[in-house]
Amino acid sequence: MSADRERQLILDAQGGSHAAFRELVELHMRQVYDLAYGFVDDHDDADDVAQEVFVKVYHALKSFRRESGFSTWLYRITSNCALDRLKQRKRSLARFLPMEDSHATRVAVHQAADQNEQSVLIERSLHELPTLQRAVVILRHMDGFSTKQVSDILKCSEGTVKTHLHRGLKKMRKKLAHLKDGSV
Amino acid sequence: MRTHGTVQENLYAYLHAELSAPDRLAIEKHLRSCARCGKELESMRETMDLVGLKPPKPSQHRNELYWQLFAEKVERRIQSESTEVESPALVGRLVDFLTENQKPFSFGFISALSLGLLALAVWGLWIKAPTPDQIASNSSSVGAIGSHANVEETAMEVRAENYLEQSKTLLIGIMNTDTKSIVGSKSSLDRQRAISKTLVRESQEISSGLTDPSQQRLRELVGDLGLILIQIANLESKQSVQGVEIVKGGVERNGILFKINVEEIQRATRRSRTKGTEKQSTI
Repeated sequence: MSADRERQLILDAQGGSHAAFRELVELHMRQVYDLAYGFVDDHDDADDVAQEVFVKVYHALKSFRRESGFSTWLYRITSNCALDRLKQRKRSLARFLPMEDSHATRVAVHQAADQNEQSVLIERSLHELPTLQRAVVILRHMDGFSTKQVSDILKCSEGTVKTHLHRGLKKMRKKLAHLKDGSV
Repeated sequence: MRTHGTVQENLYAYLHAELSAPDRLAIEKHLRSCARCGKELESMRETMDLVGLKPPKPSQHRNELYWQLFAEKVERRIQSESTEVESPALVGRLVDFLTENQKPFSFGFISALSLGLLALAVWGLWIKAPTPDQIASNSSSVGAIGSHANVEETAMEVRAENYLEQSKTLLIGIMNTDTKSIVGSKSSLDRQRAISKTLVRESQEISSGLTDPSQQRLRELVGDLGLILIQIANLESKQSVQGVEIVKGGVERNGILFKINVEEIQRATRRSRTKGTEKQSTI
């Protein structure tokens, strides 16, 4: 879809067109889901967060002024919603403990060894990163956003994005090398 | 002179050829004279080899039907949230009306409401109260958790549950359709027809999979719903207004949404009971 078409959809949705809003949802729902999952690491939560994001977008759309790109604005809302969900989870269950030696990781590693699926190992090593490093690696490396765009989405400096990316990838490399040696 | 930290933080952009010419030249100059950063560059290259293979997108975990219904779910949530916001005012107005203006009437109304709620509670107990046969079959199924047949039945019930949830989302969308605006929203009708076709196929497979006598009510509901879905799938653009009205009438007449809600409540109750039984057995 062209940028002009998206701009038109935003204008129509701001004017109250449900069909335009629906088209915007359908245009971005998968990316929002992917980013939400990157944070929360759970499909049910990703589903809920993605829906919540679009409900917020619906209510806030009239105040969107196009100073930043729509995607940047949308992913910023997604990051905030997903981070809120993680905070709620930590408060209620203390569920996201460091996963260095977690059972889930060991199971995933064995599954990967059995299935020879390196992508499983990459996914696990990604989800063992601290939240912000993970978010930066997903946005910058997986989704291909520029440093500037990631800094806009996560509301931090470009230097912070670079630092998180460098450290996050370094940790992933160590973890992957460790997993590949089969020494877990 | 660039610091080691600055150089290292830019290695990703350097390897992806994202730097401006002056920045690239400055980094190359630094790398020629710095073994430490040169080593870090090699490490980053290795990292790219290792993590270059991107894992499948999490959204691929969801099927096409999920994505077809996603926007409907968002709209439903927006509607329900706006209803929640409005309801306190409505309740407030009702209370004002009953307590201040029409006291004699209010007692009669509250009595009727109480009787209605009592009748609903009795009906709920009657529906939920298990017969001895049901208790026996429940305990036998608990005892035979590992059996293949039971696992298959449960999987089919879970599939039926997803089917009901997806159909409910679709039906709510149809019920909330303003027939005056249908002519202008052909794409919405096309989408609803496409979703219905997928769900009709699903209903046929589920109906033939629900063979246990205890699943008769669920099978009937899946069948009734299937008929409504066939009507939606066959809606014609030229006569869509009448068609949608017929579908709405069918949904209301057969109490389809009510039956789905009852099924959902009963499944939730059974789940909580099973959890309770598991807890007791571990104690």
